Amino acid sequence: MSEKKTMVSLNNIYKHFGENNVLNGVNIDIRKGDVVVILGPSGSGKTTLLRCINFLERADQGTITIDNYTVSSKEKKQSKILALRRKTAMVFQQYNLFRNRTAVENVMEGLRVVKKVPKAEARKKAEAALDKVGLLDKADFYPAQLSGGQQQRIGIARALVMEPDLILFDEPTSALDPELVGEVLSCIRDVAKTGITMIVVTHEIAFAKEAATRVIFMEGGVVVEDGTPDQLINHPENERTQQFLARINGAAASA
Amino acid sequence: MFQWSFFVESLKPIIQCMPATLELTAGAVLLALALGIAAAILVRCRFHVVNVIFTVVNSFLKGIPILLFLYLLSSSMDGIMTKLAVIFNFTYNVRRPPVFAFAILALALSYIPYMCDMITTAYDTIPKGQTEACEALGFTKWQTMHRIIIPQMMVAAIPNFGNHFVNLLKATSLTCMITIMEMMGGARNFATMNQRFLEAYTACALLYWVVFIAFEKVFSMIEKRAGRYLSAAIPAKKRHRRLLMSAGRKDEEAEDRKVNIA
Repeated sequence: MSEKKTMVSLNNIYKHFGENNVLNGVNIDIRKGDVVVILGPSGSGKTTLLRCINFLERADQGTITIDNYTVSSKEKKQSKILALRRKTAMVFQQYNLFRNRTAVENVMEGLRVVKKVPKAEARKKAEAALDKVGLLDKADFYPAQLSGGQQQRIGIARALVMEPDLILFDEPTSALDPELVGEVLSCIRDVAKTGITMIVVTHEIAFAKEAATRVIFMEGGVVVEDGTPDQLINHPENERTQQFLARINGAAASA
Repeated sequence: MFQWSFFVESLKPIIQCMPATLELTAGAVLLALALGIAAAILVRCRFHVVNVIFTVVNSFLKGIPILLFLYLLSSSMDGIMTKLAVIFNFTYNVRRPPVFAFAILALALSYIPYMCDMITTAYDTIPKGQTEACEALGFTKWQTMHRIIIPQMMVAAIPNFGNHFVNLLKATSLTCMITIMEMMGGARNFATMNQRFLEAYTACALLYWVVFIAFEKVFSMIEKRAGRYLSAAIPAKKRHRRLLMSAGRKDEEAEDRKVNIA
C-alpha cells in the first residue's frame, strides 16, 4: 500500500468565543506518520484548533476522528471524550509540568494513572523516555529546579511515554528564551523521525521547512493553503500566505 | 503588688487545663475544616442557586461574634438535646449537658467561612495548566483532583491554615464564658479563689504564648517541607545521589558513604 492510512480526521470544525468566530469550518485529514506544521498569524485559530482536537476546548460543531474513533463536538459522555484524549498527548506552550512531581514522576504519572502500569515498570519506561530527551540525570529534580528548555523536554518525554497515536505541540518554543529554543526543536525533530503522527503549531519557519512533511497555513479560522514545506514556504500560491511569509521574513531580516 | 509566689502557684492549675484547650482547638479545627470543605464545594457549585445560598450562609457565619454563637448554642442546648433524645431514642441527662461538644460546634461554626475561603483561595492559586495537563493525558476529574490538584492545594493552604489554627486556639478562651475549664477558665478560677487576678492572668498569657510558639514552629516546619518543590534554590542533592546509585555507579556510592560518614 503506497497510500498511508488516515490517522486523524477533522471534519467541519466550528468554534466561537462570544462574538469572535475563531474557527469557521476546518477540514483536515492527516495520514499516519505525518508531521504537520500549522502556521498562521496570531488569532488565526491554530491553537484553538489544536485544543479542540483533544477537547480541552469543545468545538461548537464538527467531528474529530483519531484512529477510526470518532467523537462529535456534541458528545455528552465524558468516557468517550476520555477515550479520545487517551489516543493523544499534548505538549504545552507553558510546559505545564506537574509542580508537585519530580521529572521522572511527571513522566510516570500518565502511565500510572491512565494505563495502570505498575510502579517499577512505569519508572523504567519513564527513565527510558527521559534518556531519549537527554535528561536522565535530572530525573529527580522538581520542575521549579529546571530551565524552561529542560522542562519542555520533560513535557515531550511525558507525551512520548504514553505512546499516543497523535502528539499535539502547542507553540512548544514560544515561551522559551531564544538560546533554549534550539535544544527543544532538535528534541522535537528527533521525535518526528520516529514516525509518530504529530501536529505542531509554531512560528519557527525553519523548523517547518526541515522537519515537517506537510505545512498548513491558517488565517481567519480556515485553512488557506495546504502543501509540502517546499510548496508552501518557498512557492506559496495564495496571496495571504505570501503576505504572511513576507512579514515573517521581513521581521527576521530586520532582527 | 504583683507577687511572684502566686504567679508560680497559678501555673499548675492552668497547665492542668491545657489539654482541654488543645482538645477544643483540635475538635473545632477538624470540624470547621470538614464543613469548610463541604462549603467550598457548594460555594463553587455550578448551580447558581446553590452557590448564592452558600455564599450568603458563609457571610452570615462570618459576621457573628464567636461569643454570641457560644451563648446561643449553650442556651438552646437543653432544648436541642431533648429533641434529639426523642428522635434518636436515648436518655438525655440534664445534669450532664454536652457543653464541651456544643463549644466545639460554636467555634467550628464561626470558622467555617474562613476554612472555606482558605480552600477556594488555595484552589485559585493552582495554575489552569495543571488541570489541562491532566485532561490532556486523559485523567478523570477525580484523578486530576486527588493526584495533582488537592496535594498542591494543601501546600498552598498551609500558611492560612496555620493562622486559623492559632486564632482558633486563642478563641477557645471564650468558652470559659459557658463554664468550660480550659486555660482561661482555669486562670479565672484560680484568680477568684485567691483574689489574685494580675498574677493568674499574666501566667495564663505566658502559657498561651508558649503554646502559640510551639504551634507556629510546627507550621513553619511543615510549610518549608511541603513546599520545597516550589523552590528553585534547593538542588535536591540527596535525591540526585540516590539516582546515581540506582544507576549502578559503584564509585559514586562509595563517595556517598564517605560524605555520609563525614
